[in-house]
Amino acid sequence: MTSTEEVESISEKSERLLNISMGPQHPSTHGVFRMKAVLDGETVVKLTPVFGYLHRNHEKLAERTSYLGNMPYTDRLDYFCSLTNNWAYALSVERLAGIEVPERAEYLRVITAELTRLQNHLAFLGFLLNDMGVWATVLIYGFREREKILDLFESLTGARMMCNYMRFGGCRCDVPDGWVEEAKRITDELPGVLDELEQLLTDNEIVVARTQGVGTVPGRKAINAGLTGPVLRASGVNYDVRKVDSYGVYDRFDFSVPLGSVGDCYDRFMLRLLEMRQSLNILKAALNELPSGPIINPKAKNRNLRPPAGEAYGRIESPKGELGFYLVSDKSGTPYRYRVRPPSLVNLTLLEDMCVGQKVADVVVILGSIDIILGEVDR
Amino acid sequence: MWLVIIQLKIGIILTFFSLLFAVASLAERKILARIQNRRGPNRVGPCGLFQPIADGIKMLIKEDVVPRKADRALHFLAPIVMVAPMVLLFGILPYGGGLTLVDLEVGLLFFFAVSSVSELAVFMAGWSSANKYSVFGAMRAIAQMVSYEVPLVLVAITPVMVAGSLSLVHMVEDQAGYAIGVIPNWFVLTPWGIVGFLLLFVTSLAEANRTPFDLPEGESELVAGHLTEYSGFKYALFFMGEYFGIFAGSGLAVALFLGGGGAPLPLLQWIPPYLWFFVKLVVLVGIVIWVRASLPRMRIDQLMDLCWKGLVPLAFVNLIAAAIWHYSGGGWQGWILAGGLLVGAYLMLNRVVLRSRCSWERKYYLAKS
Amino acid sequence: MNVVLFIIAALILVGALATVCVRNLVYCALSLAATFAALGMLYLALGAEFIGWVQILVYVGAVAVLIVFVILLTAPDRMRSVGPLFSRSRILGVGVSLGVFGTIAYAVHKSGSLKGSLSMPAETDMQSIGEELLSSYLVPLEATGVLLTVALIGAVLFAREEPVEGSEESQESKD
Repeated sequence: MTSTEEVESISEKSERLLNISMGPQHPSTHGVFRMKAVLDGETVVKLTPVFGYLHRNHEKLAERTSYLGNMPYTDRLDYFCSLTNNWAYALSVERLAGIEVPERAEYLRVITAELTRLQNHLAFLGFLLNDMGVWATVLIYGFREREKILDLFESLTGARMMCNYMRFGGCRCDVPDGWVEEAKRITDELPGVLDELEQLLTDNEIVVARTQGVGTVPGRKAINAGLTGPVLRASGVNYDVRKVDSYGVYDRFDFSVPLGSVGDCYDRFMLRLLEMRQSLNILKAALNELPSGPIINPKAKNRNLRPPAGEAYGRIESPKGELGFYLVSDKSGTPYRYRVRPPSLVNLTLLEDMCVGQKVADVVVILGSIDIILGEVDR
Repeated sequence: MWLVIIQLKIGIILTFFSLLFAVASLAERKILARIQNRRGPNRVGPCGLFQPIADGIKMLIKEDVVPRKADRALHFLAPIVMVAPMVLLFGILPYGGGLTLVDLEVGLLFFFAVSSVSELAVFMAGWSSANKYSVFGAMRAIAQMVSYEVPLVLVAITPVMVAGSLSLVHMVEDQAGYAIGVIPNWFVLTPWGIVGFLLLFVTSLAEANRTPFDLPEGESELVAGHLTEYSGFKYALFFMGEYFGIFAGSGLAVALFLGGGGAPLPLLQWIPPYLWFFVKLVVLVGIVIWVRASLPRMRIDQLMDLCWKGLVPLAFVNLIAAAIWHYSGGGWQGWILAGGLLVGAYLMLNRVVLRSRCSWERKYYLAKS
Repeated sequence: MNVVLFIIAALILVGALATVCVRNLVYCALSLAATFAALGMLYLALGAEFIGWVQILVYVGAVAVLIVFVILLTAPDRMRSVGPLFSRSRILGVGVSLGVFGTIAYAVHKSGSLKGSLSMPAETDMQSIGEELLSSYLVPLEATGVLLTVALIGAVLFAREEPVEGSEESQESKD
């Protein structure tokens, strides 16, 4: 990495460098994100990410709201994956208050989380390819499938994106009639779609040229920067919270964690494709084995929850990485401290290292390959 | 009388291409939509057929925004300098059947001379907008167009060499007739012709700034390149200039390699040649749109590599192959010699010069725990 | 015919004057391009089709574009103005251009083409130009080719040291 002083001395000496501000309003910064880039011709010399444009005081708001009242707020963090956000928050509150979750609810949580992962990765592929300049073709292919999953969410929770589905000790409502069959049908169809996407994209010469060797992150550096999720595993580090923590009932399913070797954009892109196949394995098993029983622990208190004093950290493997909620309770009805560990923000920390020395066009692809949602970065 | 006929011809050609522009702008959106599982514009008129009219009205009445720091004169002139040369290009295309406007002896030279003026228009647009993205886009556009002009001219020289004339009409005449009574004598049906046609198609995509070479206005990084600060009718003019560039480039490809207005089968010769010319042109424009829907954008260094290390050497080899073909008198010896040379050159370029810097094959490990 | 020639001559003069007098670098470059184009028109009006279009292709399409490109690359801040029109350092420039003009004027005057009527040469077609180039003028043509190749390689070598401006340098030499 070029040190800041060095870059500044360069920019004083040379008139060649061009300061360019990508964002906050820019077609491909995935929201209101800003990158202050210093360019030498087409090459990036320095790049400073600027965020906070979407700051909405999420954590402070949560400290003035009841535990249950926060649940819908978590939907708005990573608005593509509201169900996993719900789960991570529910998990940490359950740890804080010591609430057990019935088996059927655990299965429903796994099913919805894996569906969330599928739809997030489908959209990711589309957005990444859009950043490479495909005129929305892959995006709309991905969205076509994502739409089916969103329909499932809608019939289950009543909302397509802001699901607000989990409750402390279980889930809000049981599956409607025929939902499981519909979900099975969709999971049976998806491998064909993935084959199609793989066939279209993985061997495409321009995709390969645009992604291979771009934004490479070595495994050690990725660990040091605290990267998680597919971005970390693309660098070959075997770390998946589903395996490490085995939260919920993940230890009952037979799935593997795909690992890359180089850690460039191509690996990150391929890992998403491979992860979707593993998610499908989990989904199939979970839908087949879905046990009967209550969907919520009858003893769990949701309204006016006053957990015993203490602290708890609940983390899950969200589609973007390790999503954690840290809660401190002072026996009152609102959390004393509420802190989110957003994978999108932490994964962004290496953005400059990935981009320096690459071309401007690569910056966009690298940003796309990290897969950020500004709602989660800025909170 | 002579003047009236000329004016009639000009009227027909201009009307046709203006209509084609309207149809193509709709067709592009419709085809893109179909490829992407969408419906495309379908609100205005039956099946959205009147969409171009609505677009035109919208463009005309839209506010013309000029940035405060912009150079107003150049900002105003740039779209005009963009469109005017493109319209001139239609004058020399050999439509055949009496519709050909001018048979210029140096037709091909005229084509390149006039189309190269549009580079200045891009510069004027980019610089006068006083926007970093615009200047950036203009720089990319000029670098790209200047580079891709080299293989474009080299490729266009091959049919000149074989036909022995720079006149496009003469070149079309040279491709008339049928071998064995059925196969047309088009240049594209020779080894150097296939390569030449493909090279010409690729380079004219780059000259027209179309996907996968649409870096100058690559919206994911440069917002809209040199068009960032253009709106309303000025933007529409740029859009039109770009489309006219595609039409003219396709027309050139038709004239040089696809036999101009020649019918593909002797049976179909009763259809007037200009109709054949337009059919071929429209098919090529359709392929351009299809390419746009299916390919990502290249990066600037890859673009330059492709041009200087791939297309330019291949165009040179193609020139030699055409000479070999010409002097071996065509026939199977020509196919073996010229074809072998071209295939060998292609393989060598692919292996040695353009070999990808990264491995294609990746291994992925599936960790069980 | 004469009227057209005078209009073109006026265009050339105005363009050339603007190139020197306008204080905006970009306007200078664009006026230069206009001058080149007008010169091409002059050739066309005189019946030299080939030279006319080559003039436009090479000078407007390539040389002017390169000048513009160099301006874009080197002086983004100084683009809007280039110092006062009259300064003491210009005296040398005026001297040199007057000298060049004088020499050319003397040569033209000496050649006698101004006296008597100018006989239009027979229409030259592309074929004869090509044959002349590849027979009587073969050696100069080849020499020019070698010279340009050397320039190309030299430019690439220069570009090696300065990788940033490399791609532009190599394009410059294609003319």
